[in-house]
Amino acid sequence: MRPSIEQPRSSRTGLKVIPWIAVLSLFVLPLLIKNEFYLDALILIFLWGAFAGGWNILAGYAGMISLGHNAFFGIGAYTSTLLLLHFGLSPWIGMLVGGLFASSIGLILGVICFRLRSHYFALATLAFGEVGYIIAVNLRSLTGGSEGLALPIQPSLTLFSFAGKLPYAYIGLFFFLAVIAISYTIEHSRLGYYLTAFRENENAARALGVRTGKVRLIAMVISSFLSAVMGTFYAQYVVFIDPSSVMRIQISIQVALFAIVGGIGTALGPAIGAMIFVPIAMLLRAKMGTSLPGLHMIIYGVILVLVLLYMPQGIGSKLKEKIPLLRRI
Amino acid sequence: MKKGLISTWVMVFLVCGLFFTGKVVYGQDNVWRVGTIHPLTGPLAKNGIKNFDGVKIATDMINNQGGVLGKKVVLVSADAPDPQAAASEANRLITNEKITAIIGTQASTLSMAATVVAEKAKVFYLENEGISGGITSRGFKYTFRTTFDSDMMAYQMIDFAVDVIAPKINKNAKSLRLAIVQEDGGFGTSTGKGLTDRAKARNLNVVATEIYSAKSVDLSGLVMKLKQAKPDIVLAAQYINDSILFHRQAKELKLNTIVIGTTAGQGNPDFVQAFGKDADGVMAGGIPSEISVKRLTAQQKKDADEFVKRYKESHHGEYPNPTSFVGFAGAWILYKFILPKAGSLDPDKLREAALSLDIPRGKGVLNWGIKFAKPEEKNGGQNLYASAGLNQWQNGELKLIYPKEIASADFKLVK
Amino acid sequence: MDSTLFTQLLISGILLGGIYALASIGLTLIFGVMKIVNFAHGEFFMIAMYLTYWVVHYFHIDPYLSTLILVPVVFLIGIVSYYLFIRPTLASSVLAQIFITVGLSTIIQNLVLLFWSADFRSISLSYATDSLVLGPFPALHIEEIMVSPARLIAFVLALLLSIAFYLFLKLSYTGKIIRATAQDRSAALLMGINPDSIYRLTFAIGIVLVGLAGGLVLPVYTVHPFVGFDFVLIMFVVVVLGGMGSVVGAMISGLIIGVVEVFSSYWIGQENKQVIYFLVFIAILVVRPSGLFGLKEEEELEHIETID
Repeated sequence: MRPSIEQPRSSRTGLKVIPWIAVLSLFVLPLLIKNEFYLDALILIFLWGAFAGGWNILAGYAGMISLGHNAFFGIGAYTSTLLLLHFGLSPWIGMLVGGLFASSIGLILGVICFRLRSHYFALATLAFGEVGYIIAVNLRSLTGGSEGLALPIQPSLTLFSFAGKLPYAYIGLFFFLAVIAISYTIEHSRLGYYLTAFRENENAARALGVRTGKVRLIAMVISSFLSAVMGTFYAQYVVFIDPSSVMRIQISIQVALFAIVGGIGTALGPAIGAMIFVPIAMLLRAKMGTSLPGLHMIIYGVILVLVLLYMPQGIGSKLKEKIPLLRRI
Repeated sequence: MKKGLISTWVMVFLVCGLFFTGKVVYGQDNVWRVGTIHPLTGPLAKNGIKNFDGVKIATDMINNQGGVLGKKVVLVSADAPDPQAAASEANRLITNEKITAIIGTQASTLSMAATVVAEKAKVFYLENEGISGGITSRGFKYTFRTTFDSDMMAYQMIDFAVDVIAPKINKNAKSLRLAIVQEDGGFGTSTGKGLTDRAKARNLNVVATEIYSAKSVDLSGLVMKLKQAKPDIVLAAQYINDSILFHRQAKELKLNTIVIGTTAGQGNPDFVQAFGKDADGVMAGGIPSEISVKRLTAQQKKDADEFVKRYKESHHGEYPNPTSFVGFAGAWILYKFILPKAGSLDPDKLREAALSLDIPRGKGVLNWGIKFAKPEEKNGGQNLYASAGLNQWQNGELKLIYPKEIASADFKLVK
Repeated sequence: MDSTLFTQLLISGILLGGIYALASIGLTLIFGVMKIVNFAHGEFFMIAMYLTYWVVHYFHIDPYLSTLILVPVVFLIGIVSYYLFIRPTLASSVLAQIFITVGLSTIIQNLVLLFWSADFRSISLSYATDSLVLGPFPALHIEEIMVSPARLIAFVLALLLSIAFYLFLKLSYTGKIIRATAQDRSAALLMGINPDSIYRLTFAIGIVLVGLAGGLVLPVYTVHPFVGFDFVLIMFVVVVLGGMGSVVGAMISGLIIGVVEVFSSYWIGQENKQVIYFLVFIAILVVRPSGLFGLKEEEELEHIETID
């Protein structure tokens, strides 16, 4: 006699298969969307979702809330672009260079500022982010200042430039899934446990021998690297960068918004946040942009406040409660 | 368990479904559908809206005259508060709204992003105000700019300072002391570059170059630095609120100097609102403040008057803002010259028509001519016959004082 | 640098700093009592500027008088904001507190943009448009010093208000309660103090203070939906330098920052001065987070000595 608590085979398989089917449908999605406007929306969801995921690794898992991640995004965008424009270096490589540069800066920032907690760390990163913006504006000879930098548009695989949107969609999808996978891996790895221990009770964690400084620095390195990579992706997709588009503080706030509303500290949270907010902004702008200025920002703000007050774990976690099988993620 | 499975699938499809919502509008055959992109929200909105107003008035006027080749023009508008939005909205206009010709964008950074999308899609893009050189130096085939670029404006300001003002204050090119003040945004940077380059080319003595953020709340350090440098003429690339701050603090700290600003800053009507009589004598280079009638044909004069009349009606009797002028001009060039010649909104036909135009100065719009540089040239797409003008506040009115052929008043030296 | 120039820059800096001081007292007070960093503080500054502008514009009342008239209105706005946005977060995580005020900031900025448009607005004083000239002081080798009357009035009023508030805190009964709550919340509770009403009062007072600063500078600056955001970063620098929670600290460091700003804009250029004070900001946070006069409780700062 089989024990009654044992789950029937079919739904056990069903449980395992669901996430893979979801992923598979994502792969097919770009091909199904013929309309370039919606494809653009999809690409932006991937871009911001991945960037938010990068932010989440530091803020959600390591509990270090950064308001200055725009600097990493911008460092990525400017580094790969400048290398491309001055040396003809492929942005594929430039992306890695930008990522490494950003993570070194992030490392320094972490070493200097990790001793600060919560509010103070947030303020320090805010200042750091602002400095990033100011440098981008002031180093005119290097960055072109507020005039920005225009990238070449000739299609070339080696130069990360494509005529149509489909390749960007797949590359974006790759990063989107990669960041989710990295987050998931961290969450279930020893690093993740250490980070959680730090977040929950720092003194206890240290008493137990957790190297809280080191693990947080690892999180920072990963987080800043991923943010910079998405900066390069942005540069290659929009083909024009300037301080207001890749270095503004509002960028940091935006990704934080996505991650928090989606579910901070979870692998899917930032993705969910991006999936909610990007379409809202685009649809609002398309239908009402000319008549009601700033409306989508008001809605963003209101959602953020409501979620923080009533659903602080984020919408993703709320979904997890309702749908048990999502708990696997 | 089954319920959970179903709900997941439902959610996956709902999320996907988000992408397929929204209706797609197809063109109608009996109207011209022209797209517009402006910053109507966000930090650049103040001028974006004014530019859009100019475009709208031009559209109403042309429709009132029976449209172009018998068909009325319908604007399909988009709001672009930042460059990424500009790119996305250009994309939306092109794919969903099937737009093949776009007018925009007021701000150069927005234009840079939107024109990329247009060029990739081979869609005709007419930039009517953004002055950054970058817009026309990428070798794009489908991007055209109707107005002057930053170099044209900046060079004119410097030349005016040296050739017209200097003699009146007993100085020459060698003894004249110039200072350049620029805000650090796209506008200030482009203009400042032009000013610096021209000053260098003419071997002029630039005693100070000060760059600041338009968001500054205090410019006393900058003003003091200028005071120490003792310039005869300050050339300033500023926006309206920072130009007000600058002039206020310059007055407070007794910086006595002649100022040539720009229509984005000192030329804005808010400037005379803030300073009243004290605004007299201050100059602003860039968009001509008036539609000078000296060289216009009868029909052009009628059109010019009508534009002013319509603007006043919709803006509580205010005289048109320079930004609206230039917005109007861009659209008018399309409606009166390019589109009729092309006969269709096919981007290639529009392009050919544009490149074939050779209208002498004064016979186009706003005392401009129309002749676009060929794509092979280093500033392909630029209207070579668009000229900037110098304006000066005189008795509370902004008068056009240069070039002589179109000026409505003479330069007045105000101590 | 000659003494005239030095003195001129110094005076300009002090005048500027007085405003920074008044604006920042509210921020530091709110933190000191409630341990909340109000990222939306600049938006209240902006709203007060707008309200003052409308009163001046429609009723043609003197701007300084308008500012005073609006105090009850701003106070009410503070109370309402407290109930809607602050009180619910007092028990939440730091993340929630930070982002709720950030969210509030976004909402306010864009509501103002929606209703009052992006246009810049400014007023000028009908009286006092010419500079006051001080000196010359030949004995000190100082020639004329120019002082803007609008800035001088703003400074003097700001100084008076700051001192008045400081005395209120030090001498009045309510002031003592506020300080007690800031010092040790549990002890205050034991003493029968109702923290909620103190928080409410403190927050509203903090908003009124920054609102006053906004009204005072209306004759000097132009107002637009994003002026608060630009200002708030400076306020944070002032508050951190002075020590979070220290009113005296905010007052003194406001003056210091004003002077540093004007001098650095002269020496290293207007564009670079911002880098200076952000670097200063980070340096203070790292080296001496309690600032010049900060509260002594280290656990508030949770300053960790070693990185392991």
